[in-house]
Amino acid sequence: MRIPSAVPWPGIGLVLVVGCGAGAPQPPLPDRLDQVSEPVAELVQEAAEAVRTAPGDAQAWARLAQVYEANLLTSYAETCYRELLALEPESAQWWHRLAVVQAATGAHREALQSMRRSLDLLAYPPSYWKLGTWLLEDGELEAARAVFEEATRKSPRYPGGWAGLARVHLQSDRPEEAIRAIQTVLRSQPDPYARQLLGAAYRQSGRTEAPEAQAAWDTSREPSWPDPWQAQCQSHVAESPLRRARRLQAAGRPEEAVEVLEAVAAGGPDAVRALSILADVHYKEGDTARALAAFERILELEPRNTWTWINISRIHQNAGDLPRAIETLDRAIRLHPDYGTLHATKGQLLFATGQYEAAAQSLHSALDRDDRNVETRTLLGQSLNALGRWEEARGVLLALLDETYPPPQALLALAQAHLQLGELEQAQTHLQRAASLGRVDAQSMDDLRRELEEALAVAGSR
Amino acid sequence: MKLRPRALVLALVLFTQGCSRGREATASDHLSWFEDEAQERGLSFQLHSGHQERFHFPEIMCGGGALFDMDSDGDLDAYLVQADDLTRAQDQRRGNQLFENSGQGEFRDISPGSGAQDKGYGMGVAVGDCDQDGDPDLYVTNVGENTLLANQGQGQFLDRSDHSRTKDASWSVSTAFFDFDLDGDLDLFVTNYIYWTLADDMVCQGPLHGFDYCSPKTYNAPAPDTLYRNEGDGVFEDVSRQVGLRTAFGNGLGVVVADFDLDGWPDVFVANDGTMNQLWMNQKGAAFEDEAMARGVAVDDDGRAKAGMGVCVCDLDDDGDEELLVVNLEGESDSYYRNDGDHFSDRTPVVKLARPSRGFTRFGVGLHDFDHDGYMDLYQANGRVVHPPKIVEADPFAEVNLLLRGGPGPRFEAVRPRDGTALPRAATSRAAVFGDVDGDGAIDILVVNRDSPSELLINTVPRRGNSIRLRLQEEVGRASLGAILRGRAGERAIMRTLRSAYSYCAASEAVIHLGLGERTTLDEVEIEWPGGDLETFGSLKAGTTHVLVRGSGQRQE
Repeated sequence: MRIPSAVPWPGIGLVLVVGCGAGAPQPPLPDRLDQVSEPVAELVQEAAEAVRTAPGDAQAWARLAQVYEANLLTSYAETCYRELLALEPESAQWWHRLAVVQAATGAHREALQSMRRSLDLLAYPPSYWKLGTWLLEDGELEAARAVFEEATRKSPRYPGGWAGLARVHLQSDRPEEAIRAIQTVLRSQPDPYARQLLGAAYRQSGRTEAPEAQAAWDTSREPSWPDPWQAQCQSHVAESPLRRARRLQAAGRPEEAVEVLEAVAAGGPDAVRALSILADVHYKEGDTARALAAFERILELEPRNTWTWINISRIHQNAGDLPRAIETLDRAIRLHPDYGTLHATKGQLLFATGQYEAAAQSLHSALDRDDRNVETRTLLGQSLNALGRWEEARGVLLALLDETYPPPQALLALAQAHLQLGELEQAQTHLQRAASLGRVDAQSMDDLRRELEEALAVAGSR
Repeated sequence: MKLRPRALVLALVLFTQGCSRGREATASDHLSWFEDEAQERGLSFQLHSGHQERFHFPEIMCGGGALFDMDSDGDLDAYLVQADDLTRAQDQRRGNQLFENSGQGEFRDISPGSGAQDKGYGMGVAVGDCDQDGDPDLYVTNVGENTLLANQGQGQFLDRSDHSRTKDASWSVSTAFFDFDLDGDLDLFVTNYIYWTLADDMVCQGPLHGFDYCSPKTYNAPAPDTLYRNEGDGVFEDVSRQVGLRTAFGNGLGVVVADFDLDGWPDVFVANDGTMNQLWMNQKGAAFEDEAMARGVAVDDDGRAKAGMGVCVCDLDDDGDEELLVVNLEGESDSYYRNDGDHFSDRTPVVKLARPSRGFTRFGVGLHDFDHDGYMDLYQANGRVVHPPKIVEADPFAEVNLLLRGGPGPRFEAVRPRDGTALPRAATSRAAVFGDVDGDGAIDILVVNRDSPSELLINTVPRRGNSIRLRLQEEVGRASLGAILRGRAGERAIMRTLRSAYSYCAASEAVIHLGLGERTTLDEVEIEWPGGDLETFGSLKAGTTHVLVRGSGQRQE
């Protein structure tokens, strides 16, 4: 069958089902299952076969529907949920899931109706959260408020009702009421989503200096409230071979992980990632030679893969073969002379081996290409200290004070540079700040403190 | 204005189809708002992302352009930024293209020999007369070193990147000229995305398919933005660290300049992709402080950082300060931040933008009154950044663009057909550039599409209301970017700022365009020039473009 241009599969699935006419309903099945990843295709075929065997079995339809939904084939899931509801029309769970996939496919009005139908059958708390949130997004504040209020009445311990009310209050310029609602959530559980919502309410109320106002994340935090129906659906997510390999590795079954990874590495889009994990598995099993071999295979596929060069260098470094580690980095630098990370990594290696002059050169090269790396700047300051170039070190390290979070090691190194330059007051200031931040080598801190006390005593006696 | 015959035919076909599906026409339905006339008008440009087998990240982010009056002849010329194959040597790539407008909205490619064919892997462009010679110059952002093209007049440009010291070598995206220290010349803000080189490129896997583009979070390498201070003669100094820009940065994509707190100093908003936004509040030209979190624009209304792409600003509630609109990734709604003076409130659901926007990945964006009813409409240029979880035969990243009609409140409602054209076309759109290309007083749109022809959407809204256009100029003849217009349209108090840099990777026409509905004048016109000088210009008639030059109005104390 030829698929018309730009027509996605759902239409075909629908045709197949409708085409079955008055007979037993057949499972919708994409006729291009070969384009779906293998683990998903296997799950689909298995679940569809169960439906074909017992087309009147609600459980079989439920499994197929959830396999489709969990693996993002939402239009097929919708078809299956409809068949399922023909068998179990009073199931709140399937009306709820149907609503969720309808929302995902953009059938917004239908999603609202299905979710209301679900709530008519059962006051399942997450249904309130979803319905209220959808209404809120429509700008239907009063309707959303009614849904969330009902949730707080019927399930006062469910956080979603209170959090939803808080969102309605925020949209209605009532941040104080929002704060009160969120605090109800937080009394029952320390939920990250509720805390970030509280942050928004504090900011809107003008209390921007309060610690609560700082709660916000670069990574989206979705509500983590229990939703057993969602969890049941997610249990049908197909496991990719790479994820399976990671699971096997974590379970202490490295041989099986290697077998899975070798199969993926034999070809296909994930070969490089598989080889990378393979190297990790071998390395963690103590087989450095096979780890290196896996990395070499990556370089055959992608000769310019920078991180592979760095990883090979690290393996040599950890094995104590520093010349080979540096040689590896030099080869990578010849390929990518403008990549600052390579210069920085080489600088770290040289510093660790006490080659401070060469380290400083590499670190300078790194900063010429990317001057924002705080760690590299710190290490350069430390290298210059080690070379006794105190004024240069002071200049490099002082610039780090402009950063929001200068590392304590930089403050310690700066204190040392000041001390050597006879600037005892500044040395003391930075030493104290480094101590207050913690996370510095205690021995270095003590040595420097002692040295400073001696210098202060000498200065005092004069 | 009459509908063009072809537009009428297309519109009737569509209307008939709509009826056959049982849909009732509503008051919000126009037959069409725009018609793509790029080919007919000679604006033939296709952005080549260079995508072949491997998914190099910049391929899915590129696409910029400008509409500007290159030769001061009163019409809008076009500059389109090319990308091409990342793995190819720079001198072997296709260059950017320059198109001259004949005056009737017909274009001619004058790229060869113009000096404007920069061959970096291009992203965006800013327009501003940075050397104060009266001609608008171009600053082109690239993956790698950027290029400053000094306008020599007569369609000739000279690469002054070395001389100007503005060759930021990062992956730069949107950029803006503005006078941050109010010393009378144009400085330059450059958003940088992530630290990326071809050697660092990563491969990711899509939900159903094989290879796909990665997210910036995969790299976890946000690049700091750059501020160049103009030393007065088109030579710049990088003052980013000095003014505090290194204290906060994310995966920067969009930028807009506005005086958000009305203290007379231009502030900068940067939309970051998946990291918190920055709102750089200008400390009287000496420094900037990021107040995004404190003022409520770092994250959305429930505390989440969205994937910010394009951005635009406008005083949508007629209260004398400018609101902020950031467009985001599919699954995330737009972020409409209402300016409440000392802070912003995310009111996306209330203005009815949460639902219609969520289904698309939006890049280019502009608030303009396309139908001249007095309310700003909204256009969004869309296109995915990863494969969808379904199989489509055509461009898997393509999406239809969105047009939303604005109304009082403000409130927005989706227009049908969805992108305002009679036959909506899906493409992977990036920059949306706005300006009156054909000189009929209405705003047209240039849309840059990845690996398919750019569109020139000519405004065909029937029975438009009255409108007025104002060019605000410095005495030296350059656009007075950042100048603020205040006026009255009946009961409504109007406030608009002159700007060119908004949307995504775009430089739009630097003109203030207002729809006036039935009104025939804009009254009590007052201009606040950069630096704070106030001048009044009385009542101005609709239906024409007024050129207001600093010093020519009645000065106010």
